[in-house]
Amino acid sequence: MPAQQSSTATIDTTIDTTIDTNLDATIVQAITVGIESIINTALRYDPSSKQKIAQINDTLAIHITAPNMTLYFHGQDDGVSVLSYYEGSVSTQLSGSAFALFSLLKQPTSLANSGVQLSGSVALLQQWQTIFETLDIDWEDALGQLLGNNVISDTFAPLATDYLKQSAQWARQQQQEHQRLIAEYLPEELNVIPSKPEVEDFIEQVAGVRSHTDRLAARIQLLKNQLTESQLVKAEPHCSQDENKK
Amino acid sequence: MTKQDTTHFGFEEVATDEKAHRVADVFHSVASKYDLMNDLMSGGVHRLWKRFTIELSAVRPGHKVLDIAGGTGDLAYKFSKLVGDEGQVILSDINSSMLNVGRDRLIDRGVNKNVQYVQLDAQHIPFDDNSFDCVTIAFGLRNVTDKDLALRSILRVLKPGGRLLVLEFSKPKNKLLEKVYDEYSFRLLPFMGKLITNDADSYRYLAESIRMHPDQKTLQEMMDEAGFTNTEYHNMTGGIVALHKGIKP
Repeated sequence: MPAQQSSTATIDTTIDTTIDTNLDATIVQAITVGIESIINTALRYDPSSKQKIAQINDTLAIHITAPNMTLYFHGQDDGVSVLSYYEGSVSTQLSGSAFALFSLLKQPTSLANSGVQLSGSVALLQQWQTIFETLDIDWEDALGQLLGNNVISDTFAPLATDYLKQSAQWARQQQQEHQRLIAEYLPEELNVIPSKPEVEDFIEQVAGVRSHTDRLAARIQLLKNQLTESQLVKAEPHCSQDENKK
Repeated sequence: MTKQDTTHFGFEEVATDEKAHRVADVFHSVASKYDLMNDLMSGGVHRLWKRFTIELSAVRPGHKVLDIAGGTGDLAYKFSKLVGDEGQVILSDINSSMLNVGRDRLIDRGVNKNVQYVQLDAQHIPFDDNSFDCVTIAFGLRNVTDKDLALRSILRVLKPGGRLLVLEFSKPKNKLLEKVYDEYSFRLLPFMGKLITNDADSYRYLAESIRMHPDQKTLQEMMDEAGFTNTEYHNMTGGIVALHKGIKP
């Protein structure tokens, strides 16, 4: 993920004594408990990711500007700990509105123009991102535990897992298909946006104009230089005559 | 009997010596079902209040923590995980029934290395000066007969730079919320107490003792007068509960 803003590895080594929230502390606590529970429940069915998170020693802070609160994430042996108040040092901080941060969650490829500011270590953020991107939940185990250890569970859990996996795959395919159809429908049927070849042709033309302009500018500069040199040559004989008179 | 010889027990005026015994009776009566009642009374929100207390304590591995009026050990359990093997947690309560319930619960949860159990009176803490990095008292201070004495006693056992956290019921910020809360406390709470522990009086006392407890500002002033610095408080659930923090200079 490219950083919009980057600084030193540790951004806050001083003790933070402010309680950074405008919401009632009970609500903030309910939010932290909710987030922590969701993440740790998911991690319970992916021991590999859980182990990787336990090895993260640094703290990631997410500062939400509206409503105003900061959540601190760090790894521990039994999963992720989410706090609303933390006095230690923070290695990475993401800051933005709840909407901007949520949008980033849906498309975590770039921070540019996302309304989210990053300060501190990019590596830590990438560490968290990689773990969540490669999260591989064992749905069969999760369903099995939910249904209990019995014949129905043994029969139903694998079937339901297959169904869930197929549904997820179907949803992904549908999403890709919709994107493709929209990409065709808008330029071809509605003519509200240019088609891809038209855009590429336009970009090529702009690039051509730019290179012509650059060449022209270089030519003008060359002519200017030549003109200056010739003026200097004409001026030099006068100078030498004046010196002879002296 | 002079005014100085009496204190309040809920809305009742009782002899100072009598209060401790009456409070003890209340907690002997409710100890076995204290957790269940807490969950029912607060809708489980007491866990969020305690969680915030843990966060604000900033307890780290190696710290020594005293949990006064620790009751059934909710805070002590979390602290035992935070301080690690090098640290130490003292779970204390003046009431033996509560302390027994707390000790059994922690043992059942596999905590046996770094927690010790002490029956003590918060007004006369039997530890050396400058012993603890953090002292907590959750929903206990209002039951202490002489709160000023207890605060001074806590200050004495804290290390310089150590912090006190007082989690306690307080005064709602909103008039409407206060009215709803009153109705709940004086009508529904004793009824629930009767239903679950067959003891409406104890829960009536709890409601009354909450009303007699100093409000946010007053308790902060009491902490200042006891000698704490950087005192502050955080209202929770609209001020129904407040978490006070103070540092030993």
